[in-house]
Amino acid sequence: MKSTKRGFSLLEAIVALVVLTLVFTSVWGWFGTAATSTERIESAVAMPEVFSQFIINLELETLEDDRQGQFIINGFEVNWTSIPQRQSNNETYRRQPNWIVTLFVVQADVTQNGKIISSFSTKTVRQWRDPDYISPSGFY
Amino acid sequence: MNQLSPANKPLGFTLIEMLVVLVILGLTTTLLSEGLSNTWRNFERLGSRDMMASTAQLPINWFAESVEGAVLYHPYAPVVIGDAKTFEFITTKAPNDSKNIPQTIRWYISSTNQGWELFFASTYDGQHVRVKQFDTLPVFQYLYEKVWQQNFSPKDARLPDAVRITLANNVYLVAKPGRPVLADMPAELPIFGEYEF
Repeated sequence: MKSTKRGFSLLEAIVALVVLTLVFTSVWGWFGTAATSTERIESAVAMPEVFSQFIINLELETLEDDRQGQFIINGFEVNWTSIPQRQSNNETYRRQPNWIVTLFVVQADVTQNGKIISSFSTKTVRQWRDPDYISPSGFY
Repeated sequence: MNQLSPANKPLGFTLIEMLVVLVILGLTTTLLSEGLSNTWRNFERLGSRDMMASTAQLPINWFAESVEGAVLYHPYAPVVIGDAKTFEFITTKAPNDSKNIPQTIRWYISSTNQGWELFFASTYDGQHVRVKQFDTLPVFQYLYEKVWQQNFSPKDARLPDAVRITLANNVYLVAKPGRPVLADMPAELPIFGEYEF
């Protein structure tokens, strides 16, 4: 008498395939996450250096006329724009009438190969002499 | 012998079944271990990169901090000597001094047969410390009167607005004095004339 049960049934094969597929996709996804996060952390590691150099570079800008620009720091391109938040000649009380004091919000994007890696914003204060000021006594 | 009845057919898998299962298991295991070892290598690279980044950061920090602590000690005496290869000034933040004692320090570049090296020399303890090695020629530049210049050796007391090291048109670092670049003069000085310091 011949056995009718030779090999797997279709159901068994399908269940096995599904289980295998599930395991594979989860493990593959995990590896993929690890790879992408490695890349992200790699660029994040360089960010403190970029930021400290950015601050020094920004201090050399007067921000009186130039309100945006680009620094190249350590292979990263840092594009920044500065927006005046408060300016002393717009305030009701002006303590130094011959100076314009401005609080800027500086927004910067760090890019590498056209891809934005990080962006941050910082605040800074700048002052310059008011060109429209006329001293009542003739002296500053 | 071959004519076994179903009742006394031996239980278990045949050799072929076992082989197929083993082959599939082997394939998946190699695939997984490959991925795992890749991931581990990535993480290791990350660790060494972190270390590399921080060691690359150290010379920049030391230089920038020393320039940030640059001081003048007399309103007329020049204290800065700067050219393309040397930058000498007085600072309260020398890299090897934790007590912040003002002292003359010199950053200089010397060429070796492998390239160029950035040295730090302190007149306080006379030590010369090699800080960083470069493949391209590093050059000191000084921001003065809104222009980056190769030399900065003023006759009176003043600091450059900023100092930078460039490597073949790439800026390696920028540093800026933290205190005013001109000596603080008493407001009465122009009225009363000469003053004995």
